[in-house]
Amino acid sequence: MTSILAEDILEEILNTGKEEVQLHALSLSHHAEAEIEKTLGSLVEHGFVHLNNEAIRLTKKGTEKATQVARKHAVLANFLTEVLGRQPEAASEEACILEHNISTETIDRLDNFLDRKNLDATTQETPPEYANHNNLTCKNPIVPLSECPEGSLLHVSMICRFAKHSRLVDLGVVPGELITLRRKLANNAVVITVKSCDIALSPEVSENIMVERCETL
Amino acid sequence: MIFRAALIGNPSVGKSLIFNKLTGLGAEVSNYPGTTVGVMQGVVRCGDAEFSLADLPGIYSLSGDSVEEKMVREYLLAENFDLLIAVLDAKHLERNLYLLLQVTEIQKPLLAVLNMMDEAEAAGKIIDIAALAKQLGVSVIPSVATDGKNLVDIARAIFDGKVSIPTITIPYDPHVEAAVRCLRKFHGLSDPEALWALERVTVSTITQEIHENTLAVVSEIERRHMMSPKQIVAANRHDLAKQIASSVTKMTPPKRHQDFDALLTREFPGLPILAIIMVSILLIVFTLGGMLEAEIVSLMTTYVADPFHALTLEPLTNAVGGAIILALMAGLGIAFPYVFLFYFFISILEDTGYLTRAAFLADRGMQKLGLHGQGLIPMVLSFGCSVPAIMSIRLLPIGRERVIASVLVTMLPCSARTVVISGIVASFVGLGTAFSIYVIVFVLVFIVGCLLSRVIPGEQCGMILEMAELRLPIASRIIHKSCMRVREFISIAMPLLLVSSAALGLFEHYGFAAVFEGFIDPISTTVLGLPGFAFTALVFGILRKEMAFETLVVMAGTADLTAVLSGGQLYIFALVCALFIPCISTIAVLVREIGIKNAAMITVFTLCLGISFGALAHLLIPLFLTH
Repeated sequence: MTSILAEDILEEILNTGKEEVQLHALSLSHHAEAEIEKTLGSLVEHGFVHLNNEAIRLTKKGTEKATQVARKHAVLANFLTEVLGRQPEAASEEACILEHNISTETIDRLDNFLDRKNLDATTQETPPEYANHNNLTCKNPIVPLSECPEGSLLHVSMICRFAKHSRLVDLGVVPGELITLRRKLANNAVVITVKSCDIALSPEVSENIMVERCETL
Repeated sequence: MIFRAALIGNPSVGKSLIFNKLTGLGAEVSNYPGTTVGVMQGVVRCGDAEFSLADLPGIYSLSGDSVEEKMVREYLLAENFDLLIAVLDAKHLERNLYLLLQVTEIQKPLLAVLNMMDEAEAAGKIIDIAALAKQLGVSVIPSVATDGKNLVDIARAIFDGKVSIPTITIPYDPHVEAAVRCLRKFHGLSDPEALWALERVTVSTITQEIHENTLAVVSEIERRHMMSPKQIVAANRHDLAKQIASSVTKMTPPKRHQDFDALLTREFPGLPILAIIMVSILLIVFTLGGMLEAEIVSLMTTYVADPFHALTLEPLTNAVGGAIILALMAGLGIAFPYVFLFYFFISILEDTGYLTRAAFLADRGMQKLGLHGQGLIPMVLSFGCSVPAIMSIRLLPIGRERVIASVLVTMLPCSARTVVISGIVASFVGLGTAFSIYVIVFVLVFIVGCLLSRVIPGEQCGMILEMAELRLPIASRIIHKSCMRVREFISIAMPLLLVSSAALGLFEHYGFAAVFEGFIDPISTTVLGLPGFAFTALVFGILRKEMAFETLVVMAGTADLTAVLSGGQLYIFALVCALFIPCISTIAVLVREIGIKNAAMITVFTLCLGISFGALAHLLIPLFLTH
């Protein structure tokens, strides 16, 4: 079990790219010195780092852990910028917070997902015209349906908590479908038009449909 | 053996109407999803030839988990039919093809009926019927069911045996197809069954073991595609449906029509319109219904009850006969004024398609009580009469919400309870005091709703409701539907009313009423502060709530109730009457709609609620009065 600060320290050491670093060279300025020292002590105790005077060196175990955290950071930052359209700095900052609480499995899945997305973008094997709206979406950020303005044309990206809303797929709300947001009330209850039928959705449903805004035709 | 056909299709595509026109039977037709609950059966005759026809509830898919979808799935598996008639809404061809494609996999002779051709045309859609038939590999009959256009062709196609097994196949994702082959080989499942297993749908013929074996395949597919097989399969079907629909449809500019939804589904003026409509329906039914009820009761008194009593039969016959007449009065007094009038208006809302819009607007408020927007209708109806309100609870899609709504509906003061409250408290104690009973009831309803939505197991689901097309209602259909409801109510409630009324009559005749009064008097006086005769009057209120008031007057022997009861006692009487046990007709409908166990629980709950609040009032009122 490592604390957030401990993970930050390990990651920082790894990021310097050096075998051995001085403690004061690490940018951990926003933490109290006493706290850093205490955490460092516990890191030494658990065999993550070797401490020789002021010089810190990662053990094998420490390197492993640090790589894991760094990978989480990279995948998250990538997801935040590429998929959700956040600015790189903001994404990196947020990734710093998220990386400590996310499971390895989720990260694996996210990584896979990003790979596939890149693959889709590069190897365009001319899918049938009706299934491809990439030219319309131009990689707009993916947002919940409930955050889009009335009247917008939207491309369904995914449905969160799918099992609970399985009726949606039967009505045609599947990833890849184009839908129109016909009406939105102040409480985020919406009416969408999908396959020329109007469907009313409660706020808890509309929040779970992730969409990409399309440039109007 | 007689040839058996079944109608299958999305909700509101005209299945029930086609069923009615072909069989001449009365299936209820509406422009609201989920109205055909059971399977209707009828026989189509044409000269000497005949075949039986079943009307299945409207569904969106064979893989869903709603009650209707399960029912249809099991119906198809039981194979008690020879051919299927798929009804499609031509205007929404693509969406309707999704279900049709799934139905083709059942591999039974199939006939497609492309209904609402007129609406499709008005929307500028021209559909190439021959091309569609060729692609699907089944005969397609275009029709306009409202005008009865081409419906004879359906019967003729069946008699001539022009119905074939569909030839179209749906191209699924290779992994899904491999899994289907696998399940077919190792477990001997049919293709639809294998797909259901992959979609993790519960079906009676798929054992737990097969489900467990499939799980590994499902998670493997899910891992590779980042999507559950259910979504993959659905997307494959939607893709094919889109392909077919776009290849057979030619778009022309649609006729211009007014977009009323700009008014109806916005907060403004949508919400005020909703409020006006609901309040005016309530007021009309309240006044008109009250008048009609009084008329029915007075007519029956003059022409049936009085002559009967004038016969001076022997006392036993007189008591039983009188009780039966009383039951008939109670039943008819609810059936025509309330059930019929309410259903008349609700049918108009339903058939115009307004009801779905109302549900959309009311959704937020209803969620607080653990209900959907669709729960609005029972709530509004319950102010008139609990009976139609509970009958309308079947509009709600989930069992959990049906139970919550039933409890709340039984608690809300119906017009009969309003008569008691206004007749006793408002006229003898004061208007403000009468109002306080309403406040107590509303607060209780709110608290109970909040509690139940947390206590009753099951997750609160958001509403996913297709908005019905706005249409002009057809008068004959509305009257027909309302009459069906009246018939239904009478058949449910009358037997119980007759039995309980006769029992109460005998009870009185043999002097048990006096014994009961003597027995209950000490309890009633200590707990509620009410004399025994007042409690007996409350018991009579179970037949019909107004009867509590009428019986009280009779038992007190004076119309000036203040002479025998104090203001506090009158208040407690009205409060207990408003809260406790629903009337017999309501109980009968509750049993029918949510089962005997839930109905019994509601009855006991309201009984306890009524008595405990009566007792509480008995304790608190002296405190108020001394201050």
